[in-house]
Amino acid sequence: MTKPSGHRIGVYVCHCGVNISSVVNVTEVAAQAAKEDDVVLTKDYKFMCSAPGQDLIRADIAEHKLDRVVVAACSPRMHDDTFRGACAKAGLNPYFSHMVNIREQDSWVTKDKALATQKASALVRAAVRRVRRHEPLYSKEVDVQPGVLVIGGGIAGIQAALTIADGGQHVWLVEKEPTIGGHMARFDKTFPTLDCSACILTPKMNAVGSHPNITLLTSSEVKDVSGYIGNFKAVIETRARYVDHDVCNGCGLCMEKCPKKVPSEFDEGLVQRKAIYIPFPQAVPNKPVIDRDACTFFQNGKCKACEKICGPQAIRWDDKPRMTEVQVGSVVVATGFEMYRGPALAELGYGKYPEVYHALEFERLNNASGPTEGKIAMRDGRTPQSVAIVHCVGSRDKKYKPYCSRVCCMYSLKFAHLIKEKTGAEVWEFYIDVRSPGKAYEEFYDRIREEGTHLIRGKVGQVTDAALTDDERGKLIVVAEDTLAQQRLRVPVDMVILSPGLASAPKSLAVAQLLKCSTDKDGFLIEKHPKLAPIETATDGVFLAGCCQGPKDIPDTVAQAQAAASMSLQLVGKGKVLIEGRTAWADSELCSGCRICNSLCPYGAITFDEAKKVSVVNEVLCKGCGTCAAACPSGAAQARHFKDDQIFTEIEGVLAP
Amino acid sequence: MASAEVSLKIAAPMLEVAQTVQEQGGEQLKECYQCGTCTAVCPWGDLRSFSPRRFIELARTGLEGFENDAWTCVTCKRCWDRCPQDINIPQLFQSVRRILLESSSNPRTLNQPLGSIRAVGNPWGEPVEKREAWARQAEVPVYGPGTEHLLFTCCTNDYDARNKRDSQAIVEVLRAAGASFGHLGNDQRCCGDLAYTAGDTAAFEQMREANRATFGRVRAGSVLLTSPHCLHAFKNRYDDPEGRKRGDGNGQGETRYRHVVELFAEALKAGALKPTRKVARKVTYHDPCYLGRYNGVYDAPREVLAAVPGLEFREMAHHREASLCCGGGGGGVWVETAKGERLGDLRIREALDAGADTIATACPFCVQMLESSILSFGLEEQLKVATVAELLAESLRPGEG
Repeated sequence: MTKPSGHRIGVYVCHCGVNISSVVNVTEVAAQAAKEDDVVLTKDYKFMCSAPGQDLIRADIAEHKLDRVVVAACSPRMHDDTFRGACAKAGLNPYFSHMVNIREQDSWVTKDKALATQKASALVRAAVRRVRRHEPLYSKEVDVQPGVLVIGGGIAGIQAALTIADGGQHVWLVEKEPTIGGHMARFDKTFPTLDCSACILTPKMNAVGSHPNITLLTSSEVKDVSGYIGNFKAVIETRARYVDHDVCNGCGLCMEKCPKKVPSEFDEGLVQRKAIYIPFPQAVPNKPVIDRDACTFFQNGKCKACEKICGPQAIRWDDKPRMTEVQVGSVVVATGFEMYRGPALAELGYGKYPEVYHALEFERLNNASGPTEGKIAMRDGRTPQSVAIVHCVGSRDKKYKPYCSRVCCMYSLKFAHLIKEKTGAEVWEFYIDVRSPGKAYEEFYDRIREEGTHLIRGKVGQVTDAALTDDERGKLIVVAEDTLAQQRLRVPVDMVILSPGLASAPKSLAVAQLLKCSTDKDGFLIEKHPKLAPIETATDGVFLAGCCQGPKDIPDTVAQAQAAASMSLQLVGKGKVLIEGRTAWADSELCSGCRICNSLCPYGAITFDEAKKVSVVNEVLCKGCGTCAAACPSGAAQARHFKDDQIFTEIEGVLAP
Repeated sequence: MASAEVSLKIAAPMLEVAQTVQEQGGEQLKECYQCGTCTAVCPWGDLRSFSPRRFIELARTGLEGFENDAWTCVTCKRCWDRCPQDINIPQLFQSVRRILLESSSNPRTLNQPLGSIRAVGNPWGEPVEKREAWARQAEVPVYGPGTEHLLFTCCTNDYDARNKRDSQAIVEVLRAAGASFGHLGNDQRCCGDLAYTAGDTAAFEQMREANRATFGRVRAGSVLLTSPHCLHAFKNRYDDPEGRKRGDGNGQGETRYRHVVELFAEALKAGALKPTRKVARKVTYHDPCYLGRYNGVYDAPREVLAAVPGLEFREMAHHREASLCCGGGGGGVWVETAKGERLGDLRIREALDAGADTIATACPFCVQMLESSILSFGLEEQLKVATVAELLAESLRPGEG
């Protein structure tokens, strides 16, 4: 037993509706808590987080002169701030409040009522002992730097940048490709309105290119980010372009004269581009760059045709990468997606049969500025008379990508419409379920059926050219079971289009690591809360926009981008940010200057004072993770609110009989 | 008062039936989202109207008719490989078969092999004492302490006249490689794979117990199997009958289970085997389901065939993971199917289309089924079936060939 310390502790046990009380005997837990020294009152209540619940705490603090509060309820991640706020309003230092998790770690993980109650009592006992040793902690206020860094120049990054810039803040928009535009620049028409993608995108691209509040850095990648909310510092590397964009007038003669051709990434390799190139005619900036790996001069010292023809003399063979350092208040991650390109495509004949295409190839075929100027043609130029569109290639599949990508049903229906409109071919569409949740999406689905596309419910298992009948000779045969008619079908077609899903972009992971953000098992960046905080991340001041957070269509991307912009503007609007007081510090009396903590700190918050020969913690950078405290051999580094005596007494509380 | 006698046909789900199937190892019924991929890739597809998807739907709702197709599945695993929900579909058939077997609602022709397994430890109705006859005559050493490899021959390799030629060839190759090997003769029992897939879990457990006792007694470090079914049973099924671990086990702890072709390939690479005699044949290789899809062995048999001089190799349209089942698995050897409607028929047609005069394989059941199809069409002169061991053995004999 401990000795009474003179504190006045109030213990509150929450029922959480029935979430806790259906398993844990809350009155029993309260009664047990009452036996502990220094506990002057115990209560149990249905919803402690509600207004009446918080009022209860505030009233009791005043009436019973409580100086410590223990709330046994849900996870502190849910309501630590709520109860701290209630205490603060009653004049108590917020860190004199402590939460015990008897829901996620107790009532939600067992059905055994006796054990659950026992555990809850032990945890409350531990909390009572701990809370006696809590010390007052204070938050710091720091200024918010103006300016926002937006990483990624697809529609998400473009929209976020425009909204922030129009809001009066400066934006650095960093894009790894030589142009902004992302995937949307490659599409032909967008569902369900059948708007021409470039027509709705390029005005925004131009706005970015000419906005006084936007510094556009293309051919660039963020190499390092340090700092904390309101005060980030980023280092951006711009690759050598070998063309001086300030001097170049965009005449395009260099591209005409360049003798070297390589497959065009923008056109999925269906056509070629030159070694000196602009990715597509409406690119922003509309100036060429040289692909060093393709350029004859860089590979074997010959050519220089571009330099010879260039009027303004804009070619710079000695161009080097440039580093830019920026200081911003917040970061928006908009690094987008990559189309799934895994083994599920080959399973259905991609790469084996020339007339099997994937969705991005087909978008380019369809596009007026694409390889066939928008004509839907087979490789030999013939117009297909029958086309099969295959849903869910590599999606909803435990072996490949287990999730549904939301947009593929809609873009597949769109393909059906465009094929019918341009060629009048028979279109067969093979699906498992048709997902059309957005505005006017169901209407679009109706339209496709009315136009006569044959929708077959059955996942395609095989695409083969091995003909078994005369009708099948010279065609690709798509094999699937029509699960509604309950017949296995062999459908001969001229062309097959595979509809893969959206996967996370490989560069997203690198960016996430720079920002200390997590990615989920599918590689998408993790939001703070999937329902209530889909824009923020665990790193304060870093916001998400677009498909880097998860597959979504253009309307949702634009909405999320505007939301991220608004959260950035909110920070700047407030002008200040509160940094929590749960940080570490190094006691200079005890520090021996071994510097083990310096390199261990994941936030780079510890520096070494050469003069005093001791380590010093920057409390604004410190996130209170406790790594330094755990590693310090002399006990100099300590984590406020997680000091040794606080933790040991908690352990004693759990183990007490 | 006059009343109207209307004869209604009410179909209501019989959940007790669905429940029973799930209790017999069929819980994955619930995971299926009815996409139809299984039916699209099932090798029966072009021969008969058979929908594994429909079977699953009927079984999990407890609707009439699920018993109709319960015995068609040959457990080839093509569906499981492609199922987006990673459902062990052959297991679902096996679960239903357990229930049907109890009420004797099984193809009559399965009674003999299953009864034979329980009685004499092999499906062929042959006495235990006759098992080691061929091995004694071939002077195969008996496995003992100090022998490196335990050669555990399949019942079919021990009792069937045609398959005994394969057994002889295997021994010939092992001897040529200088391998230290031995057999356990009459102590061997059926691996029980047939019993398991036919729904007779009691017979399977009986065989498992017997073989585990034998293995425990001899504690072999390396076991060589002549049948992929035995390989799958010992390596995976014994510890994980319902295939939850997706068969990446290596059986009983320190023991290593391999098919003989794996050792052959290894010996060739190490230079222990030197095939010199020409085998002038146009050979295609039929990947047995239980060697390829179930156990991932695709390269070893091809490496062996590539080492045989004079052998012209060509692949059939469906090879490796896409291999077309011969129809022998899941009890298929004993289930009657009409000529022209057999899976084996499809396979020999593919072999002929590939321009082969020989189908090579590495499974005693495949040998049986393929030869049966060839015989039924009178194609014995155009197409022969040989095991990988037989072709290798021929190329190891002296002479030019």
